[in-house]
Amino acid sequence: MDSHSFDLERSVASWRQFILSRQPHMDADQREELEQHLRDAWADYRAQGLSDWDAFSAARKSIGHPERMEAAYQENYWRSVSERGSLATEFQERLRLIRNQLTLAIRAARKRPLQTVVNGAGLSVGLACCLLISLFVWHQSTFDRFHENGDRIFRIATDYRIDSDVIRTAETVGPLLPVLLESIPEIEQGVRMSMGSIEVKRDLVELQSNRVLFADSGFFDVFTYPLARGDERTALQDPLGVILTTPMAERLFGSDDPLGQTLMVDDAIEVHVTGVLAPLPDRSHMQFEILASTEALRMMEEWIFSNWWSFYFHSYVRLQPGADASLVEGAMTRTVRERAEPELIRRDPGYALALEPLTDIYLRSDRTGQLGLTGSPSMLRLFSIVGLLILLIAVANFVNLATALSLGRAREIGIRKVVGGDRRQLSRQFMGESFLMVGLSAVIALAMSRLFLPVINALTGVPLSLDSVDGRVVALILGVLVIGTSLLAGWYPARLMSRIPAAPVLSGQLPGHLSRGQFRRISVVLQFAISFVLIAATMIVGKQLSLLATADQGFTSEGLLSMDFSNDDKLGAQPITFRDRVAGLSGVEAASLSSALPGDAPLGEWNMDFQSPAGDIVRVSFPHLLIDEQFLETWQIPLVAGRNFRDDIGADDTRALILNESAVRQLGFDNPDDVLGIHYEAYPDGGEVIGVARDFHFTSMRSPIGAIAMRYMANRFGHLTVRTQMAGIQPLTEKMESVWYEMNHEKAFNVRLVDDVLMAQYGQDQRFGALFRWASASAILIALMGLFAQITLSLRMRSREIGVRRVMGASQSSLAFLLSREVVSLTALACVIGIPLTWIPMTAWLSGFTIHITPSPTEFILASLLTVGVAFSTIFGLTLRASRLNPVDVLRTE
Amino acid sequence: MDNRTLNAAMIEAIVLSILSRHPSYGYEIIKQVGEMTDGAIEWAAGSLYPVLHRMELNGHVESFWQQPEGERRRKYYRITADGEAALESEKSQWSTVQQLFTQLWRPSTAS
Repeated sequence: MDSHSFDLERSVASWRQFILSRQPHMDADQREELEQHLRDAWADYRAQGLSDWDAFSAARKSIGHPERMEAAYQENYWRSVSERGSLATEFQERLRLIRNQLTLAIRAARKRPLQTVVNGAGLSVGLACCLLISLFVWHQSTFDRFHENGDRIFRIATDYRIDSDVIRTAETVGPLLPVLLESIPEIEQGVRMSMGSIEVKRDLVELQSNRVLFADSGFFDVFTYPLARGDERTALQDPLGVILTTPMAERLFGSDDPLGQTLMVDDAIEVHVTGVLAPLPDRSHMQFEILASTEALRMMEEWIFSNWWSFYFHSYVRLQPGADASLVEGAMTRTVRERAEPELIRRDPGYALALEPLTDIYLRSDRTGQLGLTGSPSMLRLFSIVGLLILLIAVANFVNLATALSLGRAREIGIRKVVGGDRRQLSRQFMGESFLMVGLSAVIALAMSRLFLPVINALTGVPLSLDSVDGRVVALILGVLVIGTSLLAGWYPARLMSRIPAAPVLSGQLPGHLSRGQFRRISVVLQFAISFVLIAATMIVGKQLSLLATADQGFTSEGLLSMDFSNDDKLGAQPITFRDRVAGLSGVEAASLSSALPGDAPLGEWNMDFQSPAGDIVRVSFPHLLIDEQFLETWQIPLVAGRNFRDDIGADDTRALILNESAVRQLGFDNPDDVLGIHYEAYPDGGEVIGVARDFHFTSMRSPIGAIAMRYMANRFGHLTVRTQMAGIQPLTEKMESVWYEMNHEKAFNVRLVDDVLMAQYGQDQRFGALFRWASASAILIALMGLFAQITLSLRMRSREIGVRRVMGASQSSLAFLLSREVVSLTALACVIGIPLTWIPMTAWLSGFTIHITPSPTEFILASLLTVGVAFSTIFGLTLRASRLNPVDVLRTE
Repeated sequence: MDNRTLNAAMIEAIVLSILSRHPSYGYEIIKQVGEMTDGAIEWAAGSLYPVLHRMELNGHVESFWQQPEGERRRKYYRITADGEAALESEKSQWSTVQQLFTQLWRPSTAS
């Protein structure tokens, strides 16, 4: 031994470190006493002639076995805690307790680093998912909360009738609000608004804004939108004044001060900037770029302010404090029936007005004609459920591992009980540990959530940014999650452990119900059942979406390209020329015009009087589609009877009508041929049926194929559709673009594949699909991590058994099978439980489609194979590795 | 025979007996017992100190720190009145045991 390098103080210091880590129940006095003992022993051994090193090692040995010593110190510690009862020491005692618990927790974690890390990681993923979903839910359900007196602000909505259909719209007519303000004292203030689009120009900067809000000067009285520049009281008084949002001001003026500057609108009117809004809160259903006066609108469209059928406005009111909204609704309806144009009420005696609370508009208003953004409550529900499921898996995992790890400490618990540690103390210890672990995971989850945010945003379609969220909200959500999860996760092991009978534990036995691991099994089944449900749901949603993509719509959508010129006056005035020029391009097989595309807003309806087969007059209301003579050919919709419009459209064909088969059936004819030549009357003129087309699906597959009536009306076309070969799309698009700009150089050229237009109807369903993909991946990942940790733990506990079996001649693979058997049967059980849990909600979702798949055994078998398969391969790999260890080593170390 | 069980049974009696002579500290007590039994009883520190602490909790001994000139301070234990009483009852118990063994192990005489 090299005695030169021995330094007593250093050796004592390292020994002290060792004691600190191993003897959490020893206090400073006791440590010093023991240290002195060590020094005395060392000096004595030196005096007996041992070398420095040998003397120190002998002195250490004289102190005894650290584990046994810890048990003894622990016993005294708990005895002293239970005997000392004075208030003065209580607080100090608590602090020490917490510190000790921390030490114990860290020691427990260091003993099983792998399990602890996996456990924490799973929990972090679960918490991160849950945090983000909670943030999304919070974001969606707290729209429009920034207005002062927001609880008194309402939007007026209209229920009116067109024939038998009640239209529930969020819009109101122009003359309504002034009348209401005049006659109902409970309405303190009101504002009419109308969304429009204009082109603004300043020097060389020219841009188009589709979000121009024309508002009455009461706007700033009702809503709270602070101005960064300008005066709220006068900014909207000037008919030719505009107020810009901050981004708009920056785009137009850069760093110049926009206030008082002039802008050209639509190349015709000169306006000036009267204000700049402070940055708009993002959680507002009203999204606009420019605010202008309704007086400017009046100069262009005078009639909408006096016409009782002009649903061009959204009207918002602020009620007096304490006013009862339902009473005001009644008063409004009565007022409108008295004061509106008599013809309106005569035709529609049910005309009624309603109030929608401002804060409910975003998420709860299901009316048509919304002013701005709306949310989806069903999506919110689905996300919440998925978030909870993932959290449930993570917590089940956590509890499971915490319980398993705590079993290893049964002896510690037993000792405490013997020396009188009461149940509450023990529960607190477990709760404390659970809290510590969950808290730590929450910190990691916070970091993770930044990583996951883009994914969640893509899934929800809502751009949520962590920076825009109030830190207090995150803290609150995390706080609730942490406390809830800790209580849940700490409660079970705490209850279990504090009920352990001390005597058998100390003699080395675990009570049956603990060693059998009931909870472990339940938790494995639960986690894998959830994973199974999510996996099976993913498959079913995916299959349904691909069915929708390939379903027979009654027309051939592949190879159809479409252009929207419905907002373009120049092309709208000469659609035939436009169509013929495009049709002349090489690569175009056919080109046609129509008033709408599948999946657009519902088709308008026509009231028509037909003569029924029985001879009487039948009044029907058919959705109408305006098409040219090329339409049926281009879309490849065959005629089942009669003829198409003639190529040389005469006066006759503008009144000629083509029906689809559903319309024919609705009229009461069995044979399509019988309907040919039947006369119909409609506003403004009638005509006769010339042909019947095979049924085709012009709306989303969520609704059944319905009747459609088709006429030719050249001034109402808004869409050009061309058929081409898929390979030729790119060059053709370029040629079409040049035709477009030759005929119209103002509006941007935009062409879409009809297939894309069709799928866009299922945007939300596709997002559901993506959500399920992500959720099932996270769920199975967390469940597998938990399983992994669980199995490595139990393999270690069973290493002696494995060793003995190996020695007795069991082969590695037979051992691996033996050890995997239980997990496989548990996951299989999970799948069986999962089948109805998937079946019921998924068939409900599918029943919303006219064309839908039926969940077949294939999906469930595949999902089961996947679930059991990944679980089995995880286990099998681990057990195989464990059984490869040399049994001699295993048994020797035992 | 399991030494640990025996130790646990007699350790308090021995410690009380030593402390009734004069106050002492842990290391010295172990050394003294070792010397008096020619090394037959060698307590580990880890067995003695918790017993001392427990006796202190029970009120049989009390501790105090003492620092001789030029040395590190040591924790000394001395016997209390309760401890004296406990020692008396230990003494009578162990005396009974001792008498029992004396009789049992006496070479048997033909009667």
